[in-house]
Amino acid sequence: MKRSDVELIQAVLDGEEAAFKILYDKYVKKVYSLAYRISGKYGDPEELTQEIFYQVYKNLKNFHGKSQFYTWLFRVATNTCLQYNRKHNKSRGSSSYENLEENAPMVLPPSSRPLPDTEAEQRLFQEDIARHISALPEKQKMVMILGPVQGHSYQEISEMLDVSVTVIKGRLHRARESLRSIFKDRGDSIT
Amino acid sequence: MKTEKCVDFDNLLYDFADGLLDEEKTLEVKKHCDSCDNCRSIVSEIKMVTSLAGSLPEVHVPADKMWLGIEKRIDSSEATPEVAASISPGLFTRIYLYFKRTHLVAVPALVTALVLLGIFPAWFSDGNNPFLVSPNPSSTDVYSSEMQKTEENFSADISDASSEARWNMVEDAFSEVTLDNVTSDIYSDWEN
Repeated sequence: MKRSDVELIQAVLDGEEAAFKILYDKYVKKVYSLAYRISGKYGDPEELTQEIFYQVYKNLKNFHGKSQFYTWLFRVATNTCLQYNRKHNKSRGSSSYENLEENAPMVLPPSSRPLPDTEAEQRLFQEDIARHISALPEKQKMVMILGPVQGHSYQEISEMLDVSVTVIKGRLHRARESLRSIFKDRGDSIT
Repeated sequence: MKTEKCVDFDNLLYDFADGLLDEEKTLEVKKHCDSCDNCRSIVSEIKMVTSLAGSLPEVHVPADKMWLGIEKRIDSSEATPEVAASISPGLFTRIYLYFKRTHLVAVPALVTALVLLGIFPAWFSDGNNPFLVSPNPSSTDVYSSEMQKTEENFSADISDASSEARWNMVEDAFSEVTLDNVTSDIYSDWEN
C-alpha cells in the first residue's frame, strides 16, 4: 500500500530508515535538478543533493505538517543551495556570477529569425536561456528555476523561500527582463 | 516604439503574459497590445522566455550512487531526526520569524525604541541613576526610611492584634488619610 508523505515521515521518526529512501526516490529528481542548476559550472550537484537530503533527514522532526512536505523539503533545499554556493564561491575567492563572463558573452548564433522554428534552433535557444539563467543574480536565479523551469506556483515559491508573493513576482519580473535580452541581442524582436 | 501610454501598462505586461490579471484588466491590456507593437513584442518575449525555461531538458540523475552517499552519512554521523528536535526554534525566534514573514520587523523595533527613549530619560531624570552613588542621603531617602519604620511597626502591631482589633487599626489608619493630608504631604516633599 502506498503511504503518504506524513506517514513516511512518521515511519522515519519511528526508526524505519527505509521510509526515508522512499521519500528520497520520490523527490530526488526535482531536488537534483535544482542543485544542478543552482550549483553552476563549478559546483558538484551530487554532493549538494546529498547534503540537502542529509539536512532533510537531520531536521525531519522540525516538520510540523503546517505546510506540505514538498514545500518544506524545498525550503531546506534552497537554503542548503544558497549556503553551498556562498561557501564554495568564498573558497574560490570570486562572486557567484563569475560564470557570466565566461558564458553570457557567447553571443547567440546569427539568425535571421528570432523564433525557434526548427528543432536545432529551439535547442540553441534552450542552451542560451540555460546559460543566461545560470548567470542571473542568485535570488533571481532561484525564483526563475523554481518558477518557470520547475513549474511551481508563486504561492509555493513564497513558502519555499519564506518571502512574500510580491517579492517573488518582483524577482521573477527582473529575471525575465534580463533574459529577454537574448531576443534583443539578435537585433530583432518578436512580433 | 514605446509611447507614453505604454508606461501605464509596463507593470501589467508580466501578469498579463502569465494570465494572472482579472477579466477587466486582461481586456484592457489586450486592447492596448493590439494597437502597440512594442508591448505586443514584450509580451511575446516574456512568454517565450517562460516557455523556453519550462522546456529545458530534464537533468539526468545519477543512479544509486547518491543514495549510497546519503546513507553512509546518516549511518556514520550521530544525527538522528530525534536529535534535531532540540534545535526547534524557541518562542522568541518564532515571534521574530512571524514579524519577518509579515514584513513587520520595524514595528517591534520602533516600539522598543520608543519605550527606551521614554523610560530611560524619565528614570534618570528622577535621580534614580543606578550608576551614581549619593554621598549624603537625600530628603527622599530620609522620608523613605521613616515610612519604612512606620510600616514595620504597623505590621508588627497588626500581626499581634486580634481580628477585631486589626479591623479597628485599619479603619484608624485610613481615617487619617484625607485629601488635605495627601496634598500637604506631596507639597512638603517638594519643599524639602
